[in-house]
Amino acid sequence: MTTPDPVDIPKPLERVKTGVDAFDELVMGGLPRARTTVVGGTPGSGKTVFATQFLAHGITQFHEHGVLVTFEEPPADIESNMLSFGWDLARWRKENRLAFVDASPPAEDELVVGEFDLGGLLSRIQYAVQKVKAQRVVLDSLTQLFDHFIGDPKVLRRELFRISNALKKGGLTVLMTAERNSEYGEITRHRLEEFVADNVIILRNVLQRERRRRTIEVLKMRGSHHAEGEAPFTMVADVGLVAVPLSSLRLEQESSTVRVTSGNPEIDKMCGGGFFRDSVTLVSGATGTGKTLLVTNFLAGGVAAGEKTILFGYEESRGQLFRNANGWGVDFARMEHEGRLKIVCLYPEAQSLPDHLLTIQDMVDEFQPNRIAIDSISALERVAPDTGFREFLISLTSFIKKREIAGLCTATSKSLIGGESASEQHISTLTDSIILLRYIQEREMMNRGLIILKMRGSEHAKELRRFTIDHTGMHLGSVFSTLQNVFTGDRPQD
Amino acid sequence: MTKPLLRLYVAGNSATSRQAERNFDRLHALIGADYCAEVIDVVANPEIAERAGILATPTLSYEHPVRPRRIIGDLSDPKRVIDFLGIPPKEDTA
Repeated sequence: MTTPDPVDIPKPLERVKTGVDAFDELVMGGLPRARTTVVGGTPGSGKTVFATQFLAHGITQFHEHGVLVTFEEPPADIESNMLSFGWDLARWRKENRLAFVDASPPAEDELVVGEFDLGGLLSRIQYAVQKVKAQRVVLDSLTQLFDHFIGDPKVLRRELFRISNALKKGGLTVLMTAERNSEYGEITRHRLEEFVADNVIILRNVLQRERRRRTIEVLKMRGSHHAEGEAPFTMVADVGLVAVPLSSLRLEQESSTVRVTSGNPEIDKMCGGGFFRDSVTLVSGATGTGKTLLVTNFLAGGVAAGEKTILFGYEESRGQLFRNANGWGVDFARMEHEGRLKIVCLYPEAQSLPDHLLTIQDMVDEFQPNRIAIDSISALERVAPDTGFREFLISLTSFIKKREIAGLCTATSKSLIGGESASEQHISTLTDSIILLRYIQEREMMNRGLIILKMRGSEHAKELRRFTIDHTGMHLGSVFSTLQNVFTGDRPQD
Repeated sequence: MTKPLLRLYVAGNSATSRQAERNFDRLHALIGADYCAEVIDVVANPEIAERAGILATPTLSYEHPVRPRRIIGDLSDPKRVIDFLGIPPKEDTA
């Protein structure tokens, strides 16, 4: 590190990566170096994990050593708690890459008589910084310190300001945690952020529709730009805090012009030669219209072309999926046995949406498929409230495109005839192609119809085609001549 | 028998620390020579502060084997200090 510049020349702030990738993106690369950031959150919102990850990431990735000042738990407790995230603090301590300052409450009686400052704390922190040549410092949590010296909040404010300044002058990037009383109220108890923080980050842990929703928000970044809004995150064993990138995502995916088969020659023809290799297609329709059949064709078509495929099922069990496929002449068992197909069946309720997303990402990275199918996306909608679901969809589609794999998602519309589901509203703008499957009533017959509603970057057939399903799969037939409105189920007025 | 120890932790030359040192001298005179008194500057000796777990300065530590106590502040009220430490007046010692 260079010596700090004595003159305060405005220049782009150097960034310090926290180890939470999607968060670093929100703040333009990381926390500003040699600044103080306050992380506020209610108890259990993940402050200590975030703060420790910040240190761990510096130690393991950048040889930036750290000092952890703990006001609450003794170091030994923190060392054992953090092992579950794969952070061996005790080892780093022995290797002089990490030092603790144990400021947990003393056992003996204490009395305050007259004026005091926190000179003891400051010189201990500086001593620890010197000992391990630290570049990152965490104070966790200030609220405990305020509880310790409960009668003197003014002294503490002044002293924390002094400590923060002294550390910043030494080029240290400082992260302080503070408790909040409620998720959407005062920023921190004792309003620490007002006098000590260059930057303020809020971690939330909100109960929404009987589900925990964790988010991270950048409230303030002095002298620099940051993304606004709450980004969802989750806690993962052996990793720590993992945020899910969202609306700030850049549209950086390159568009491929390579076509791949949908698994059905007729549909390929309607699409102008098949799906694009890095596109996401939505198949929407009421229950029983043939969505899972299209998924099965999509996978079988990929395998027949020598590709690897993966299916995430959220509605049916493996057994059901195998039986369905057999009924249409597709042998899932053999495909799996040959390593060409991987089927993952999960209950939507088994985990939160961010966790589902991570599961999908992990499996895809592990299996390296050429195509992915998700049946159905609307089953996942049950798990999360609206904003969470939309964020999930954005992240999922952008992930699929980045990996340049062909994706097929299904959505179940609520009513049997026509109808539109919320997932459609959300996903229709995010997917490249949309195929609608509809029940069409013709006199006494209930027929099925298929229409390609949209196909980004390509010509496609516009007509509503009749189709039937039998033991060999889907067969497209003639065009419906007297059309119903496929959205409402009404007959046209003419 | 070793004399009981009173240890004052101060931080460099800060005004409160100097004030505390003066008050500490007065206090020591008041309770007599049966107590050992020692002043430690945490800026010069941070490792001692670390071992003792000192946060605030000045801190007066009464290293009593059974009832160790600490007083934070500039010791501006000697009577309260003596009361809290539970030190008897100096004439009591034979």
